Amino acid sequence: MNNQVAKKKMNMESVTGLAFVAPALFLLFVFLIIPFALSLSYSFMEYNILKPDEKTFIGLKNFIKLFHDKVFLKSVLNTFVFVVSVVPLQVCAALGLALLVNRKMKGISVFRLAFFAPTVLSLVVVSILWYYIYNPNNGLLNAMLGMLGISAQPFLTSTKQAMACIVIMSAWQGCGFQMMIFLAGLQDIPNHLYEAARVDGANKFYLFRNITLPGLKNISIFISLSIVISAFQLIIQPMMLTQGGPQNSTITIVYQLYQTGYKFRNVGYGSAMAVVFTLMVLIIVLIQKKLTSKNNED
Amino acid sequence: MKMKKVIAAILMIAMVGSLAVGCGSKDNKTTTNETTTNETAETNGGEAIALQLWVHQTNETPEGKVYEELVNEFNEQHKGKIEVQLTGIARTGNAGGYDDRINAAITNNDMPDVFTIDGPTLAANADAGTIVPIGEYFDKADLADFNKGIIQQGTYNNELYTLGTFDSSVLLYYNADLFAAAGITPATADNPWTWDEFTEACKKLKTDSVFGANLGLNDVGEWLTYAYLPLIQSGDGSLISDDGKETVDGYLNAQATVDALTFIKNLVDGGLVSATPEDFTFEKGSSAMTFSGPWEIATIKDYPELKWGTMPYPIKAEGATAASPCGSWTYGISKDCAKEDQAAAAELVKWLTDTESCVKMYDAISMPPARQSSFTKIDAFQKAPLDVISYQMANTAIARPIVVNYPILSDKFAKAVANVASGMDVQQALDDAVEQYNFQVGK
Amino acid sequence: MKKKNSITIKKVIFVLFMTVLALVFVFPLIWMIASSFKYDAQIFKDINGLRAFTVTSFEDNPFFNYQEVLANIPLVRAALNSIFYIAIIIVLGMTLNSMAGYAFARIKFPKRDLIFGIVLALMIIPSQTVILSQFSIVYRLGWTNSYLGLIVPSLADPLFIFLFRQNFLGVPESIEEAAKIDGASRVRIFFQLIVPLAKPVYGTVTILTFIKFWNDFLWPVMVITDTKKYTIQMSLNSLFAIKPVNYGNVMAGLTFITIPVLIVFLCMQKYYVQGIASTGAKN
Repeated sequence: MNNQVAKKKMNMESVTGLAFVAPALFLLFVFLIIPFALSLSYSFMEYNILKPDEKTFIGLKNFIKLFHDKVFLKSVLNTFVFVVSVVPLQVCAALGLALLVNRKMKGISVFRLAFFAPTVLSLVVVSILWYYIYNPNNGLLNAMLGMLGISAQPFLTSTKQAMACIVIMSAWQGCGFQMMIFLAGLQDIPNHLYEAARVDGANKFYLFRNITLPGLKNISIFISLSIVISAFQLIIQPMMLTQGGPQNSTITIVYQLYQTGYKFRNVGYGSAMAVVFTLMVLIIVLIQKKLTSKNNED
Repeated sequence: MKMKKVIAAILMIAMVGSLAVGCGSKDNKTTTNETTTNETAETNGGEAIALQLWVHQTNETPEGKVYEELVNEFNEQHKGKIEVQLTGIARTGNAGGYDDRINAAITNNDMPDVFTIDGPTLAANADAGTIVPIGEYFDKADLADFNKGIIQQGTYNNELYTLGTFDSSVLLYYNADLFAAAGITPATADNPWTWDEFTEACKKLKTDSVFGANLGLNDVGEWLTYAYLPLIQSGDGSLISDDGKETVDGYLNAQATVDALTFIKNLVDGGLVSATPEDFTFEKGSSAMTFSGPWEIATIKDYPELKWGTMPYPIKAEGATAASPCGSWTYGISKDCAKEDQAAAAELVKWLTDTESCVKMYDAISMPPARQSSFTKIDAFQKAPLDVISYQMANTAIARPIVVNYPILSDKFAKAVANVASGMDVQQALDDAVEQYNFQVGK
Repeated sequence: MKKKNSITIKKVIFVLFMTVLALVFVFPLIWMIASSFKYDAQIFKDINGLRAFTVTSFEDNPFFNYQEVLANIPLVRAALNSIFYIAIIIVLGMTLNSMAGYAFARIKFPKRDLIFGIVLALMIIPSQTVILSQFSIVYRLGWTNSYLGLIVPSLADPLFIFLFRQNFLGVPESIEEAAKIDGASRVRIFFQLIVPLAKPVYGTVTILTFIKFWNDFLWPVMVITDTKKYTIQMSLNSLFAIKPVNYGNVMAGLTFITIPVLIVFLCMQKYYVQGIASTGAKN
């Protein structure tokens, strides 16, 4: 009898759960899963965007071609370099800023706004200005290095420095976004935890280690995952600043697949890139999730 | 139990959704055809032919306003016979927006009857059959009035597909004060500088704060091909074979191309031009010359203190072919325009590209007209500084290659120019470009 | 007395430090606003120095760029159009996404973790890959040139579902248990208890959604062709489609469209008050 009641309750719970997720899932299915399934099918076809009625099945040819495509392989490498460098930089900057602006003070929202500003700004404004900052001839950065006695650097024109320039600009532009999310997380940490610890005479570092960081656990999982995914999708910054150059040193996977699919009209090959990209990032995210969930068990 | 029902229901809805979407392709085509037949039936019954015209500018820009005006006049003039509906679609610098929308229309077999096409994409469109030949609707005498570059860029496999309202070109602008100070006499339209003379002039003009010229090397894209292909053509070279086989090996990496890029490389290496130029250096007086299109004049007008003039494209050596860029946006009639409506569509193209329309477009956006008869009607082209444009359009303009894979070709060439400017060996950059091109197109 | 002084000094140093740091982030905004009061030519004459960030010469009518832009382009109408459709996306989308996020966090249902994993995986798909297929779907639904085509495909967002889930995971279960014992339904618990507690995350998502669609260009261009229905970025693009680009006008246009975002941001600040802690609930 009791068992049956529990079961009924379970069913009720399941129905409510499904009802809660159903609207979102349905829309995602129609507007994301189906389109991606189509891309998946195109990746096995030769498909010129101008000739939609002449799609032909060519098996794995697109995928085999990918592994011989020097520029694609270069773009994979570039993308990894970007992700590995931008993610820690951006997460630390975002957390630092969030801690700075997480206080009750008159006018603190002005500072929040300031740090958030690059996220809001038009990329046109941002890229014009950074182009001038990085300009090797008479740019701001070289002027500042000159004052420190460092010789002028080539920045965006150098195959060695261009990606670093894009990393710095991206972190600068993006960290305000994660700052706001960290801030929402910080606001959710109950104040009384701090008060109790303070009464016990804990110092600031202790509070940060033992209350702030654990309190941000759930939100950190979100931030690290979303930042990794968005870093993998890098396209606009190189498009605006370097067009992938010099000598393909800043070409990225998504930039490549965009060019191939739209500019070169090779939808089949572009879709194969998208599929490989999605699988690759999925595997990395799964590994990342495994690692973080292991940490959580400790 | 209940839960299973809910899942089943969700799955049902989802499947119905996917069926409606996934299998819609063929059904949709028939519906489109049906509507077209209905329209024709109506036409036979004495109603006006309805035409769709898509352009890559919205009616919030000066160019878009001219399209709107021309279409309104056309509708007025053809009342009861043809009714054109104009749609302007925004386009970004990276060719997003309009181009995506056209691609979507092709995919859905729902293209407008007439639409604007960027010159160099003609071959791919003609090859794919998204546009139809229009030569039969035009008199030979009328076509002879168009700039030869316009006819060249609109012709694929000996069939005329597109015509435009305006053409474009690139000139060499110079700073008259800096020239006088350095004791340099500018070249005239019919007697251009050689590359050596250009380099010599740059050396004389170069100072700590002034570059010899701005080549726009930061704009790695169509600009580099548009502007610097004439350097190759001046050495009688080409980017690709014109025998229909579209071979690049022996063209894109041939001596004529190597010479052209070496010319640019020497300018960069000698510090005479910047590999990362800022915008408006010519107007600010920090570049003594600049290669740019007719649109530069409107910018220069904001700098009243600047004294300037124009020169023609430099040639490779004394007696070499004089070549200059040309070509811009054009109109094409799409495959989805019903056969019996094509004459009406051609009528519209005729209207948009007639002498008066070309002049109107020049008045609005300062682009050189596509017709010789329009040039003679515009005083500005009879004297300096614009006389160089009319000279180049009539005498030296050569269209970009009319090849199916032009976007890939242009991308590889532009990257080669950029690579050379950033220090790469010329022959290696071009050999890489050939290899990349062949790989991309699957040769 | 002495202690108070040191606190003030500390505060002054903090504010100074924050101001310098803020300048690093806010300089393009200052440049944009300063440039919107200059003639096109002046902007690039000034760009290599500090003059770039100041209004160097006041014209008789400092707002001439704004007047030119507003006379040529119906930015106000486009802004209202954008605000209209984005408001609908925010209200409906946030409801859908937070309900899904809550269910993934708190309600047990079969295959929950698998489904959630799939939703997460959807975040990876680059939007450039699917835009054409998405358009074909909207086209077949007959939603071209209609706000439905802008709104419906934009409602569900894996990123926001994920954000809501992570946030709800942090809500102490003790709060819900009490309500459950009182016999409250899930729907009531969610709307009456959880939503008010999670104000900061709703504030964040509102800001992020607003910015995402306020800056969206490629999708509206695909869907909307009627000039009267243009969104803000579509109208703004007209400023860049004119050759040569008049950067004075562009900066005025950009300043004009940035202001609403800043207003939304500042309005949402009041939701950044202590959420859970303020209820006094204990974990």
